[in-house]
Amino acid sequence: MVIAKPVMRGLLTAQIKKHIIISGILSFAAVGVWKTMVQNPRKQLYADFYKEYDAMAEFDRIRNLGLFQSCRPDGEEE
Amino acid sequence: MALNPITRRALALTLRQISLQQTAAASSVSKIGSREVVGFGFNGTPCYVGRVDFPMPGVRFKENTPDIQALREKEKGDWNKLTLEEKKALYRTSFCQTFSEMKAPTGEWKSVLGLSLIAASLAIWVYMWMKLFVYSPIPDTLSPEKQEAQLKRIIALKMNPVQGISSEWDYSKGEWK
Repeated sequence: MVIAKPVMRGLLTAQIKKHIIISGILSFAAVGVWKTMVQNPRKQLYADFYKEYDAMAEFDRIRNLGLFQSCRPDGEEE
Repeated sequence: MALNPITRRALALTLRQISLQQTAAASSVSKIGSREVVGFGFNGTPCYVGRVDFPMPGVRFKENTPDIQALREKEKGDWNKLTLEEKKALYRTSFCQTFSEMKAPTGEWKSVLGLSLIAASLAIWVYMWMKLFVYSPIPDTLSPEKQEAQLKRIIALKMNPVQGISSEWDYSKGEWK
């Protein structure tokens, strides 16, 4: 029974090279997935929210619910 | 008085060195018996450890017996004349296990996992005892009515409106989306 001679040298170098390539590919893949599935949708959500955001109207709404301590709702006295 | 001081001191030092060597050798020899020392080993002592990362122990595994000695004589000749059984026997005189035996799985992970889970469950029992007998009652701000009031206030203030809690509330209809 004759089998091929096993690799005797350069084992650590070969292992390190393989691991570097794998980790490089996985890193790029992870960043790509994060950017397309998390980062970009989040940016879009923020853009959509602030496209038609009226800060004064929000402020008046919260004030008229009586939730501020510094200013009272419309029609109330100090 | 028979020897002058320098000779006497040299003799004393040499004798001490010899006795130290004999003590070291004696303690090793008494442990390894007649096994042959074949190299430095992984730490310089004549001990046998089967290590995958250092496969050259300092000492052979089996002691020299007459039939092993006969095999050694045959080993000095042409290896093609050795039968497979003889080659395997020669291996076993120098080594306790083959590489596959050394690297064989032990199943230790099962006991590790089991004992860790047992410890975790004991911790849960301890927590239940603490909750019953040690901890004081939780504050009333955690009651369901007060939690609901807090949630109403959070939605009214429109906290986290982009991706958080208020983004799930439909403000035109006054209910969850």
